[in-house]
Amino acid sequence: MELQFEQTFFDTMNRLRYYLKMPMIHGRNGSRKAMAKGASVEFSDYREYQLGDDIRRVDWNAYGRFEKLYIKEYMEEKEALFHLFLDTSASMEFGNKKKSDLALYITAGLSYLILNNLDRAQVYKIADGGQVKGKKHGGRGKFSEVLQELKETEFGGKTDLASSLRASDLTKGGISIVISDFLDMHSMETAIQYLKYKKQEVIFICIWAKEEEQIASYGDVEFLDMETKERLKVTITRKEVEAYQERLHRYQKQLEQVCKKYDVAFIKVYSHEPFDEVLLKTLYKSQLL
Amino acid sequence: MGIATVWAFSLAIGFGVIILFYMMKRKAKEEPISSVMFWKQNEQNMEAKTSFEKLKKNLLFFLQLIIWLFLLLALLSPYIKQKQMIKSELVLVVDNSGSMNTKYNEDKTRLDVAIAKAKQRVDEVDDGVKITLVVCNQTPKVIVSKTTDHQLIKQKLEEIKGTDKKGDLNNSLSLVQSFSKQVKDVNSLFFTDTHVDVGDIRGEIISVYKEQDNISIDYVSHSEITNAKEGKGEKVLVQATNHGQNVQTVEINLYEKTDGKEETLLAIEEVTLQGKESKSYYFGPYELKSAYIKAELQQKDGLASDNVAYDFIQQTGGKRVLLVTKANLFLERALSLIEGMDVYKTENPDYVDEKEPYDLIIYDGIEPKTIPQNSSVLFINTHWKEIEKVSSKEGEQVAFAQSELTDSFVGETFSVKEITLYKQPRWGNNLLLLHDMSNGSAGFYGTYDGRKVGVIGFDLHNSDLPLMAEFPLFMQSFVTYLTETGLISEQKVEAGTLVSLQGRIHGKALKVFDETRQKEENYMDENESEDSMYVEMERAGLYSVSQKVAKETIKSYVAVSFPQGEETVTKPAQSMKINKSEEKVEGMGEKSLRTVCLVLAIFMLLIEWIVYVRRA
Repeated sequence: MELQFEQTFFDTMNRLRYYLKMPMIHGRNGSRKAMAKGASVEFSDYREYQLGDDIRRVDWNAYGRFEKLYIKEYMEEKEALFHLFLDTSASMEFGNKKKSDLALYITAGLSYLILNNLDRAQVYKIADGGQVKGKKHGGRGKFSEVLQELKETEFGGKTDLASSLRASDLTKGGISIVISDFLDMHSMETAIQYLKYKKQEVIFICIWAKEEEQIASYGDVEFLDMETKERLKVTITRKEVEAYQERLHRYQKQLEQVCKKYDVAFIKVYSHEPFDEVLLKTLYKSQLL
Repeated sequence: MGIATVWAFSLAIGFGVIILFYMMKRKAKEEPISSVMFWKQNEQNMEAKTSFEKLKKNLLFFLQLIIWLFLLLALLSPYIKQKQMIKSELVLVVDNSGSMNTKYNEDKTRLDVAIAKAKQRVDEVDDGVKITLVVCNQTPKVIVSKTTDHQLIKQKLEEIKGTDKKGDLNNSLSLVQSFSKQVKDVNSLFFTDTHVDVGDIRGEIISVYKEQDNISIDYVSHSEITNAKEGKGEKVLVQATNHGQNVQTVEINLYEKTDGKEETLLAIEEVTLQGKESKSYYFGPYELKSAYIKAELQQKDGLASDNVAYDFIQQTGGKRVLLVTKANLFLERALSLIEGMDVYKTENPDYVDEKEPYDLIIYDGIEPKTIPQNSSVLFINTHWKEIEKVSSKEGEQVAFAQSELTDSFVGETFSVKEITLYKQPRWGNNLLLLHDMSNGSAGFYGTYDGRKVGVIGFDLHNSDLPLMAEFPLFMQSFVTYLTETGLISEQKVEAGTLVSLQGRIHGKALKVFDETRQKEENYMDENESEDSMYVEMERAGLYSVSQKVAKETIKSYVAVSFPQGEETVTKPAQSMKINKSEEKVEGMGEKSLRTVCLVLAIFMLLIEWIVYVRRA
């Protein structure tokens, strides 16, 4: 699918800087403040001089006051690694405005933002309990490569979040953003636990289509599950629809509760919403902005 | 409870249709969905529901069955009998005799007004009142008997056609009285222009009489001018009568019609008639070579049917009679006395004049080998293979039998020396029989094989019949009968008269054409053959009867005139109620449940709609 962005999008993204709650320890030098003290221009703290320290870092003002030698410490600038997990299961193709389209745009948009902020982004396409790991991209110039990866995305297969994420073999630390419809409660908590174990700051972006909540057809219908190919004959009546929507609502609540339990940002969006609004909503709700 | 329209049971098939409709496997619409997870959970919950919950799924089906049931009940017109003060059964008697064709106003005749008033009365009665419809002119005729279908009554009223027949509703009283005897609460409504003496019949007379000016052409005739001073040809007499009170000035038009040509106007005469005056007018002389002449009033008046009369012009030359005999002076003399007969004589029984066939061939003791097709025949003492001989006797007394030819001398007897008795055929009418009533006929007549046939079973020379004073009269009526070869027995009749049509047996079907209204009439009865029938012309006017025989078409005319006396109503009807017509009678009435069923059906329809909308 060809992903096209307006100039206004880039203008907006260029102005955005996000803030990570979890400081980076690992990773290369970047523009992110790391816990480790490093040799950047940003003052961090004082410590006593030890043999071998750089004499140029001695704070002579402090010496004049305290008649002791103290060294200035500076913040280590580390780059963050964003893991973008894109659900490419068959269910993502559902909807008049496909969930997959919005998912791709969100992934691309996030990628741009990440790269623009001199962080690294890696896209994982997850489905069928496995994944297709993309390259780690860093630097603004790599956006086109990200777009190329996303362009080649094919949707199909079943959802098994936990298995797919475990297959990613993440290093500790980083931010994991999972873009999915999360129609797989069983493995979701396991997935979260895994990510948390891997010291990830986790953001879940749940995309649903409007048609999944608002049922238009009535009467006798034979549903075909897009992932499992299971068929189910249902006579849709008003009561049936009410029960279904009730169940859907409860499921969503369960998702939110699970996420809340593990301090995972859960953002619910609809496939028909403009992706730039979704992006901003994501950043805001996840407190990245 | 009873049911009025049993045929509606056939619509019970609708239940089957509804059931079949629901039983037919409905192909569910296939729809891809992201996950059936939530619907599966729904279905699992649904399985736990009670049978009643499951039944609710088919609620619409049951509602539709119930709606159909109520609609079917409504169509069956159910009723319950209950004691109530009921309005009588109704008998509508409509006069459609000739006088009812008189105008009531510019647009309508009295009959039109009667029908309109009758329909109005039908609308006014309660549903469930049984109505009988009778029309009457010369005789009454029941059109519909005791029906609660008021729409049918109104339809049949619309179909009543006017006639020009004589009569009035007094002819229907015995029939109406018989209805009254069967059921006590019958109310009879008489729609007429003529007074009706209803006696003790309960009912009402609804008068549609309104005085109108009317002049009639009573008759037209012609006669040959014998006085040289008056000129040469035929003079025509026309009689007209003014039935109204006022002086009227009208124009009488005289027309001549020749075969193959249009009617030609001969004369127009303006005449003035005082009220109730009858006058004769002479026209001519004319050289008439026509089929008929017609006298007609120029102006339209209250009654159009009596404004025209016809007269038929006889062909020049008499009837051609061939006498096949060695010698029979008695017969020759008797024939010579008959006007309009050209008698020819021969001894050759097989003589045939191919140019002009004979109207009648008399075989006097000479048997022919063949008989010409177009001639009537009279066998006197001559054997004919088509008639069966019974016996021969000698020295007998013969009497004239009762017949239309011997009305004047029935029972008169004469002697014969030798006589042959025949078995009277089915087509034969007895003319002569033995005084001792022996088996067999001494003489008969009739129509056989498309021709008129007469048989006399003895030699005139050997009897004293020729010596009787009745002999010339007998021969005249017999020969006149045998030489009348037209298709129709009478040329001038009044409307409503039964007329016999007799065609050639080898010809095609008889066709009757209404020359006045220019339309073909269909009088064919399934029991009648195509070459003979009795017809009753109900409307005045000119009719032609034709038959195609081989390559030739034979045509005869009959003029049907408006009956004399029917032009005016001497005692007009007065509208009045008679013999407690309004009184209701206690009896078992029928309360219709149709409305209740319809209301219930509509109510169920409403419920079905609500259920459907809620489902949606």
